[in-house]
Amino acid sequence: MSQDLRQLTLLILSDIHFGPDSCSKDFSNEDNPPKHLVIPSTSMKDSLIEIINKQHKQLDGIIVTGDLTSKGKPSELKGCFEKIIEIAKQVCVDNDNIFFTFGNHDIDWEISKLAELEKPVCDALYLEVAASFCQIYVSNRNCSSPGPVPGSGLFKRDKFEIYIVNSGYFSTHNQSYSHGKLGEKQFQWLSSVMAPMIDSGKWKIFILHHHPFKYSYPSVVEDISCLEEGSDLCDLLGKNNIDIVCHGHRHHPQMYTKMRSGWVSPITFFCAGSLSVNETERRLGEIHNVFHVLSLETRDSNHAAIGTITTYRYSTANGWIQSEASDMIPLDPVQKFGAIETLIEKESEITNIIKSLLNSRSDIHIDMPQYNSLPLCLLCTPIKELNALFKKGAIKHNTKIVGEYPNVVLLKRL
Amino acid sequence: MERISSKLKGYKGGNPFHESQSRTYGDDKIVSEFYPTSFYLSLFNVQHEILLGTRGSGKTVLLKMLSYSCLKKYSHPVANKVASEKSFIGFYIPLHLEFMGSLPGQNIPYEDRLKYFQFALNCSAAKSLLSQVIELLNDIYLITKDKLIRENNIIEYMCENWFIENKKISSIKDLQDYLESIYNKYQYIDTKKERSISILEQPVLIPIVNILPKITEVLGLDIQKTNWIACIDEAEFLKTEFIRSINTFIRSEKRPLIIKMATMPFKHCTRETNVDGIFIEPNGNDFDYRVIDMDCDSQDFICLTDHLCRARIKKCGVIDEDITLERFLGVVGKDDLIDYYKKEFGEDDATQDIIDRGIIKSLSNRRQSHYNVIIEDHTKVERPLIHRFEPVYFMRRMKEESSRGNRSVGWFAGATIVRRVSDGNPRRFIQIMNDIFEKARKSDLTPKNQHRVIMNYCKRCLQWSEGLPEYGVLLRAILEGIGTLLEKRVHGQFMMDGGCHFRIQGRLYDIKSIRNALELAIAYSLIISDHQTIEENIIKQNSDLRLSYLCAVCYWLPMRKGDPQIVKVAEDILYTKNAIIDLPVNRKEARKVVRQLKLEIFT
Amino acid sequence: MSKPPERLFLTNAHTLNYERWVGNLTSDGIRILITTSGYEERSTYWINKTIKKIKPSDKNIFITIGFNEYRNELSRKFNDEYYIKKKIKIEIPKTDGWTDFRTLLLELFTQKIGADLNKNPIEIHVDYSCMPRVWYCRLPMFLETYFKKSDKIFFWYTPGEYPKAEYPSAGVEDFQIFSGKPSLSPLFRTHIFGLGFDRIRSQAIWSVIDPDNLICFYSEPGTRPGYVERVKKDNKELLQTANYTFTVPINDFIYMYSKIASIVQEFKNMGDVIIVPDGPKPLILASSLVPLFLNQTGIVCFHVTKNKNIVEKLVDVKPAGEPFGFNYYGTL
Repeated sequence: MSQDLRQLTLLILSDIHFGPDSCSKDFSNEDNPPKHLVIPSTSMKDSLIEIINKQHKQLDGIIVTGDLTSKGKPSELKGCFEKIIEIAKQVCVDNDNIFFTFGNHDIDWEISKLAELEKPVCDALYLEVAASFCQIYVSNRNCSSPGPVPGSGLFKRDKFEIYIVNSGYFSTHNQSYSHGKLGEKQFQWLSSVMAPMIDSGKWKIFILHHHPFKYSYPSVVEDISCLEEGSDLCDLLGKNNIDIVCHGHRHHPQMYTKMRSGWVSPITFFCAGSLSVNETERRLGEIHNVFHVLSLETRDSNHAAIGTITTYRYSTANGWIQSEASDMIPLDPVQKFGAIETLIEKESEITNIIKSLLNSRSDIHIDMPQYNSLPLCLLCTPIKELNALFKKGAIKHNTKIVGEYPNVVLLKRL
Repeated sequence: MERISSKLKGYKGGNPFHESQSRTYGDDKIVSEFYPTSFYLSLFNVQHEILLGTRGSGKTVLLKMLSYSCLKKYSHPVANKVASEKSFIGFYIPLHLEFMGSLPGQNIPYEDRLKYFQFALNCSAAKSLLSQVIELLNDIYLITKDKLIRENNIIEYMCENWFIENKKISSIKDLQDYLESIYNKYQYIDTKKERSISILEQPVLIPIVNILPKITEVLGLDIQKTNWIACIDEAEFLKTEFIRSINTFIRSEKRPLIIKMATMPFKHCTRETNVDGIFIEPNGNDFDYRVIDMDCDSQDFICLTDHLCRARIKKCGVIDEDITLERFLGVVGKDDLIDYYKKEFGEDDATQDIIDRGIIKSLSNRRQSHYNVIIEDHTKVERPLIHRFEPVYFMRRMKEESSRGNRSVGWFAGATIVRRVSDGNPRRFIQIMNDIFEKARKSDLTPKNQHRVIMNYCKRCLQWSEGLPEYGVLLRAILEGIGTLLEKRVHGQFMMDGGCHFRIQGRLYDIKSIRNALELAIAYSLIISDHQTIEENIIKQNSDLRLSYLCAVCYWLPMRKGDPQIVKVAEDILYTKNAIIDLPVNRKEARKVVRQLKLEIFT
Repeated sequence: MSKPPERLFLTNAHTLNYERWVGNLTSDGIRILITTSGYEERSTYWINKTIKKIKPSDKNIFITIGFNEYRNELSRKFNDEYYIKKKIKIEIPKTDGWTDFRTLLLELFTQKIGADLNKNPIEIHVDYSCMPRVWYCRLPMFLETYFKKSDKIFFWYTPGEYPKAEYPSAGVEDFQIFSGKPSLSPLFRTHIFGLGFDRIRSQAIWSVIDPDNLICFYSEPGTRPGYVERVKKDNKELLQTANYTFTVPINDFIYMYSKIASIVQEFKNMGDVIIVPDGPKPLILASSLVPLFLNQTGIVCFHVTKNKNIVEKLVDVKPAGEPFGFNYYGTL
C-alpha cells in the first residue's frame, strides 16, 4: 500500500434546501424568497466566503451531500447549482472539484405523481424521469466512472477518490417514508469500481445523502432516515478501505469512527448538518444551521484516517462563527477523529499517564503532558469529556486535576 | 470653526451612536468610550455608598469601571495607581429584573424568601468575584504553573469553607459552573444534605467576606491595604425586604468589603435593617448617598461628551482629525445664545442697542416705568434687567419667528445646546447624537438642521414619556400642564422672568398617583430635582424642581433657572391627605385629571 | 421536596388546518374535547363547529370548564345555556388559578377516561381561545407528561376581534417569570419582545426592562385586515429602536414556534435570552413554551400581568376567523 498521502481539505455543505424551505434569501430564488426573515441579518453566502478565505485558504474541493433543493423544482436545482459554483469561484475551488449527490427532496413529486395518471397501471417510467430530472441542472464534472443512476459515479483526483451514490433515487411520491435506498444496480456498480481501487493509497471518500445506520439523539424519536441497505453498504465500504463517509439528511451533525470484523480499517461516518434549511426542519429551531471543513491529515497504525472537522454555525448577528459543542451539535469547534478506542481503553490510557507521572516525580504539583502530546484516542475525545475523564481518573489515584485541557494542566497529590 | 461632520455626507456605514445600552459593553469598549470623571475617581474610598442616578445617567458604566478588569485598562494616573497597588478591586453584581423575577413570590413564607434571595445574591456575588480573581491571577502570576497552583489554593479554600466537594473542581470556571448549577436547582435540592447551600444562604455577602482574607493572601496582596468593592447594580428592582438585607450588611460590616450600590431615585425606599429598630445612617455614618447625575455644563460632562464623540466617530474611519463635539457640530461665534440670535436675524438687526430696546419694549408697563426711572444707573440696568431678560427675550423672538409660515430657525443648535438637552445624561446624549449623525449623512449640519433634529428628538421623547411604567400617561399630562403654564408665562403678552424651575404646592404631593408620577419623571430625567430631594428620598414642598431641557425645547422655555414658580392647585379644590385619583388609562383621561386639578402658577 | 420541571418535547408536532382536520376525522379511539364557558362569545365557537362534524357514535368525552369569576357577565349565560342544551356538564374549579384547574382536570380524566387511559389511543383537543395564560401556557407540558406516546394532543385557537385594550402600563411588580431560569450575572442579555396593539404597554415594558439587545417580532399576516399595519404604526418607535426584527405567521404554530426557538438558540451563545411576549394568544403560547423546550439555563419567558390598580374592563370578544391549531404526542 503506497502512502504518499497529502493533507486534504474539503468544504462540506449539506441540506441546502434551496427555495422556500431555506432560511436565507441567499439560497432561494428572487421571485420566491423565504418569508419571515430576521432584519437585518448577515448574508449567509458572503459570510461563508469570508470565513473560508480567512481560515481555510487551501480547499481541495466542495462536497454537497444532498437535499440541494426544497422540492426538486428546475428553478431550485438551477439556482442551487449556480450558487455553489459562485461560492466555489470565490473560494478558489475548481468546478471539477465540486461533488454533489441528491437527496429525497431533489425529486419533483409533481412529476412523479404523473405516474398515477394511468391508473391502475403505474407508469414507472415517470418515476424514473422524476428521479433523473435533477441531472439536467446539476452534474458532477470529470467523472472517472459514471454510476448507474444520475448523480452517482467515481471521481479520481490527485489526492483522493470520491465515490458518490444517489440514495434519494427512489424517494418518489409513492414511497411513504423518505428513507433512502440504493438498489441493486448501485450496489453492483460499487462493488465493481471499488475493488480495483482498494490499494490506490489515496484518500477514499464516500458520499451519499441518507444515514447508513441509526444514530442516537438526545431525544428519542421515530427514526426513518436510514438507508434500507445500510448494513450491507457499511460492510462493502469497510472491505474496500473507505476512509470517511459523509452524508446529510437529519440536519443533526454527528460523527463516529467504527471498526468491524472483516473491515480493512476503521471508517469515520460523518453526518453533516444543514447549511440553510429553515427552523421547522431543525428540530423546531433547536439545531443551528452549520457547515463543516473536513481535513484529512494522516493515518494511524490501524490505517484509520486521522483528521479534523471544523464546524461553523450561523448567527444572524455575526454570520458564520465557530460552533461550540452542545447536545445538539456534539462536536468540538475543531474535532479530531480517527481513533476507535473504547471508553475503558481511554480510561486505561489516562491511568497509565497518571501512574507514570506519580512514579517518576515526587512533587506535589506535577506537570501533565501538553494537550497535543496526548495519545490519539484522547485527542479524538471531545474536550469536555476528556477533562471529565481526567478528573475521574485522578480521583481514583488520590490526586486531583488542576486546570483544564487544552490549556496547561497539573496533577496534584492529595 | 469648520464643521467636520460635513465629511459624513453620503456615509453608508452603521451609525456608531446606535448603541446606547452600556450593559452590553465589555471592558475595552467602556475604556475607549467613557472618560474617567472626577465623580468616578472619587468612588475609590472605603465608605459604603448608594449611588442614585436616573435612567441613562451612567450608573452601570461607573460600576463596571470599578471592576479590576476594566480599571487596569485605563491610562489615567489615578486609575493606574489604584490598579497597580490593587488598593480597590471591584466586582460587578447586576440585580436585573430576571434575577429578581426568579425569586419566589409572596406565596412562600418570608423567611424562605429571604434565604433564597440571600443565597441567589451570594452565588451571583461569588461568581463575579471569581471572574475578577481570574484577572488578578493572570496579571500577578505570569508563570502558568504558579498561577494554577494559586488558583487551586483559592478553589480549595472556598470549597472547604463552603462545603463543596472539591475533587471535581479543577478550575475557577468549574467553581463558577457549580454555583450556577446549585442556583438553578435550589428549589429542588435538600438543603440539609447539600451543606454548601446552607452556607450560601447566610446573610448577604457574609460568605464572601469570610473568604476574602484568604483570597487576598493567596494573591500576595496586603489585606490591610486591599479593599474589595461589591458593585451592586440595578437595585431599583429590589423589594423592600431585600433592601433591608443589604442595609443590614451596610450597618454591620465595613472593609475589606465595601458596597457601592446603584439604584434609581426614590427606589432605596427604606433604611431599615433586618433588626427591628435599627436603621442605617447616611452622611458618612454607615453610608453615603451620592447622586451621580452630572450637570450639563460641568467639566466632567463636557469631557465625557467629547470623549464619547471622539471614540465613536473615529470608528467610522472617515474622520481622522481630533474630534470634539464643537468641531463636529460647528460653532457659531462663541456658541452663545447671542451668536445664534445674530445669525438668525442678521448682525444689523441684532445689535446690542436693538436688543436692549426690544427687551424693554416687551416688558410690562410697570417694569417699563421702572426702567425709565433707573435708566441712567447701569448697575441697575445691565445685570438686573438686560442680562436677566436677554435669554427670555431671545426665546420669545425665536418662537415667534419659527411660527411664521415657511420660516425655520436655527436656534436649538450647537454643542452647548446638545449638552443641555442631554441634561448631563450620557444615554440621552448618545441618542441625540444618533439622530444628528443620521442627519449628517444626508445634509450639512447647519444650525437650522440641528434645530430640526433636536426639536424632533425632544418631541418624540416627550411623547414617549406616556409609555413609562404605571404612571406614564399621568406623567405626560402633568408635564404638559406644567410646561404649558411655564410657556404661557414666558410667551405671554408681556415678558416676565421665566425659566424651567418650579416648586410644587405641598397639597399636590398628598395625592399618591401625582407624587408617584413626579418621582417617575425625576427617575427618567424628565423633571430634574435638586440632589437633596433625591438623597432624602422624598419630594416635598421646598424641593427645587425644573423641567428637563428636553421639555424646555418643546415648550420654548429659556434654559435657565429663573425665579422658581410655584405650581399649585386652585383653592377651591379640596383633597384629603390620602386622596387617590383613579389611575388614568389613556391620554384623554389623564388630561382630564390634570384639568381637574386646575394647576396655576403662583409667584 | 419537589422535582425539577421536566422539559417539553413536542414530539412530532405539526400545524393543523381546521378544515382539513375536520374533513379527515376518524372514529378510532377516544376523543376528549376540553373547552371553556366564559364571558366571551368566542368560547363556544370551536366546539359548536366541531360538534356538527363529529359523529355521535364516536367515543367523545366533553370536558367544559366554567370560570369561577364573571358568571353573569356578557356572553357567559349564553355560553352556559349552550352547553346545557348540548347536555354537557360545566365543571367549575374552586378558583381560576392553575392549581385548582389542574386538580379538576386530573379528577375528570380519572373519572371519565379511567382504565382506557392506558389502552386506547386518545385524542385530546383543547380550545384555548378564551383561557387565561396561567392555564393555556401550562397545559401543553401537563398534557404531554400525562398522556402516552400514542396519544395525540391538539390545541385550537379561534381568532377574535379585540377593541383597543386600555390599562395603565405595567409596573415592576407585575413582571413574573413564567418559564425558564436566568443565569447568574450574564454578561449579555437579549430581550425578544412580541408586539401587539398596546403601544403604551410595550413601551412601558421596554422602559422597565431597558434591554441590552432588543429584538422585536409580531405576527404577519395578522388574523384580520389591517392588523400588520396597525402593529407597525403603534410600535413604530420600538421597531426603530430594535436591533433586529422579524415576523411570524400566527396561523402556522409550528413555524412560528420554531422561528422563535431558533432565534433564541442563536442569541443564547452571546448570553441570556429573555422573551417578553405580547399580542395574540398563539404568539404568547409559542413564546412561553420555548424555554421549556430548549431547557437551558439562561432562557426565560416573562409574563407581564395587568396592573392591579385598575378595575378590569370586560370585553366580549367575538370570533373573527376560522380556527387553527397544532398537535403533538404525549410522552408517558
